[in-house]
Amino acid sequence: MNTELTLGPCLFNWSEADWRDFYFRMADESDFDIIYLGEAVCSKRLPFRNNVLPDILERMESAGKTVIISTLALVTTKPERKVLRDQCEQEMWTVEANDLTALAFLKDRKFVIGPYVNIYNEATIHSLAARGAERFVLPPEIPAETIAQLIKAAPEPKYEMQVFGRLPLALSARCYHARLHNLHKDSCRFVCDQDPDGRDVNSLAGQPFLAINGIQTMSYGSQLLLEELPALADAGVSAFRLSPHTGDMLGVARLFRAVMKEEMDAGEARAKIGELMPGHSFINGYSHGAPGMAQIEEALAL
Amino acid sequence: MSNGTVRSFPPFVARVTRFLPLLPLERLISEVANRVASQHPEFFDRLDDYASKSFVIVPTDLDWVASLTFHNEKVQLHLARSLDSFPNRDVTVTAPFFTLVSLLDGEEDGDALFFSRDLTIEGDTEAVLALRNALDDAEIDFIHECSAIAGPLSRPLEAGGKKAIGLLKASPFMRARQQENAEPSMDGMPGAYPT
Amino acid sequence: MTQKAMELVCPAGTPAALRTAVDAGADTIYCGFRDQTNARNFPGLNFSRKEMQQGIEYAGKNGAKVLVAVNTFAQAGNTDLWYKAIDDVAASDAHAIILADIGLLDYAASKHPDLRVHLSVQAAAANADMINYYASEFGAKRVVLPRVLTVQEIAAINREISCETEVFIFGGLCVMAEGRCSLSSYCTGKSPNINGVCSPPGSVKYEDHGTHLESTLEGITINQYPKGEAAAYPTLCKGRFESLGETGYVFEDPVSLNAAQILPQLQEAGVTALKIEGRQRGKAYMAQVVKSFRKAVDAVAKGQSFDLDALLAPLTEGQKSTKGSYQKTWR
Repeated sequence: MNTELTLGPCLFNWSEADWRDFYFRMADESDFDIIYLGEAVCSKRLPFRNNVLPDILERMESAGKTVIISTLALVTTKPERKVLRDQCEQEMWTVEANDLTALAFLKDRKFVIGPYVNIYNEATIHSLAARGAERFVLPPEIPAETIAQLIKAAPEPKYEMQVFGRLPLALSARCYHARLHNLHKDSCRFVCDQDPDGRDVNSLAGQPFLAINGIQTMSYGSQLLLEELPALADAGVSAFRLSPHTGDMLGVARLFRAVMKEEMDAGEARAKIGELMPGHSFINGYSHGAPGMAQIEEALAL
Repeated sequence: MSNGTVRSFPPFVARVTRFLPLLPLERLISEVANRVASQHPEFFDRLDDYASKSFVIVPTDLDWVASLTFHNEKVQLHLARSLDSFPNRDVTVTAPFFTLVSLLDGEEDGDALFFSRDLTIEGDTEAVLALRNALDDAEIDFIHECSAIAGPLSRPLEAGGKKAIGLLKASPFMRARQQENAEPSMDGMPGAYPT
Repeated sequence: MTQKAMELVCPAGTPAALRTAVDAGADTIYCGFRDQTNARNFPGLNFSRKEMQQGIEYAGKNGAKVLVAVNTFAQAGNTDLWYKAIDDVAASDAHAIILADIGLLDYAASKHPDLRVHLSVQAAAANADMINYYASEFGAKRVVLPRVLTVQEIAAINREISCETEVFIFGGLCVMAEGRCSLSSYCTGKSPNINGVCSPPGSVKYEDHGTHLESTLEGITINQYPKGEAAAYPTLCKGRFESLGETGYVFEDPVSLNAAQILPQLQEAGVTALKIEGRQRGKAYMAQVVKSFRKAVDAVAKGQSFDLDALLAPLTEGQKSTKGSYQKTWR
């Protein structure tokens, strides 16, 4: 498979030290084709990221890594708009736009459209490509069959999709972590740092269902697409994204790379990833056109 | 609008209706329904594929149940004493008689009743919503339509009927069942559908 | 001092509901075609092309305007259905079209430059930079603001933009940023953006367990109601869940939005139009809502003091409502 392996931005509120150490390790030891870096979920976490971001960028640079700056997915306040403008107007790194507000600041720039922007059809692709988008990270809910249709109708840009990790499902002005701790968002005490992989939400009947991560709602299940990779690559998906979790991400990346190089069987990789990430319950429903929470065993035919 | 009170016939009404002959009643209601339907051809467009479903209506305070189908732009009504008579039903709607009537003529906001326990639905929820929306658009005046059958007597019958029903609904004769929950937080839902 | 009254924008799911809303005093009615081009694609709802034209005529005769919502995202390989909808609105006497999809906005701007475009709430334009971008790039004349903003933020936005703003004042409340939520498809496979439905009725089941009634969506328990407690529709984000031993409404209580109390502030904030949610609600209910808000909005414009509570009592009786994000503590 002639496809890239990328590392999406860390979506969780890891401590400054954990965040830095994780990306130092990725700079030194990983072989990702692209590493996305930056806070996409909550503007209140930005100061902590910015404290260590220069060191990480330097380390990435000396390791020869390609870095793309991920930006906020929900932009409302003045400080958020200012941050976004600054991120878009720097000229060192390409930007992943996770909110269309970024378009206002990215005139005459090439950029990546992140998974939080509504990309559902070729008309939208053409419209955004004409404005500088050259790579599209597809929203999680699009079925592989639609992805194939989309790429067939608009084959020029690069397409990337998340193949590992909890899926981002929704954003809100309200912080659910704060709500569960009986706090307001403005005085949240950064309680989301207590759940470095998100906080599980179960139904009253005990069914594991969702996860919360500050203002973000995520899937309980962790996306794992392995058997599907060849069909997706054939359909024109050119990059596969892993979304950071605690645990051995380098190990997970190695297994994905082995499958993409056809050196390892998907089933074997699945079993090994299950051992590396014992807390994860894997899902693949969306790509099969099923509810996202489903795990479909049949092969993906496109 | 609903004032949060659902009224039911007292049990003796059910005992009385047990002796009503179903066949003439069936004919009467069928005639009314088809009269209305012929004036509202768009009703069937709105029902669309759900016109092939079979709807069973259960008035909880009466002693009969009704099955409704809408095949080929014709309303078919069958009455029976028991649900067992309609084993192939797609959906069953259960509520006190007047709740069902007010749903029919759009006087009540169905949503409030729909998902509270005053009205229960088993089976194909989509079909019920299609029917409800089609009825809401058709602007059916139940008493007016029933009275129309009476020919020259229709006007006084309609006026009298409406008055009687108004009185009946308000009378202590009807058994009111107040919403039992003191804390009506669930009622604040936007209705049948989310945004 | 008398100001121009804010425009009252009301929903209609059927032609009868449209006539009802016009008669009840709506300035503007919004509705959609009967297919997946609109975000209330529910069984038995919405308008055929002919019904739409008749509705526009009825509204026109009574001094009201019609907005047509084509506010879902076009499906790859099937964009013609959406293009056709836009073409049909352009050819009609509708006052404006409501769009969300960038590709469709582009299409409307290039094919029908004279067609007035409103930006749907599904486009989630939540700040002045983005709104100005949509206005300059696609000629949007009005933006429906997402329900994530405070009144102060709305006022600030209005100072920075040149196009009109419309805000929701009553009805269902999305807790999530609109147009950016996949909870429904995660559970049921159908989403607002793709299918025009959220928590679709076909996936809903109610089961009586004796001690409690349980509502489920595609087999996932969304709520359990103890005996005597009224049940609600199992909208995903308004369900009861459990997290680390805490049980309750994790995302939002099953409340609806009611911004009646802050109408004067909204007028002060420079809002052009007020939107009532609920194309799926019955027409009898809607007539009450529209009549009440008509009186309230006119009174606010005249600077009259009035008892909003009394005016809106019939609507809020027995209901739990919230001012939502308009007050900052909601967050």
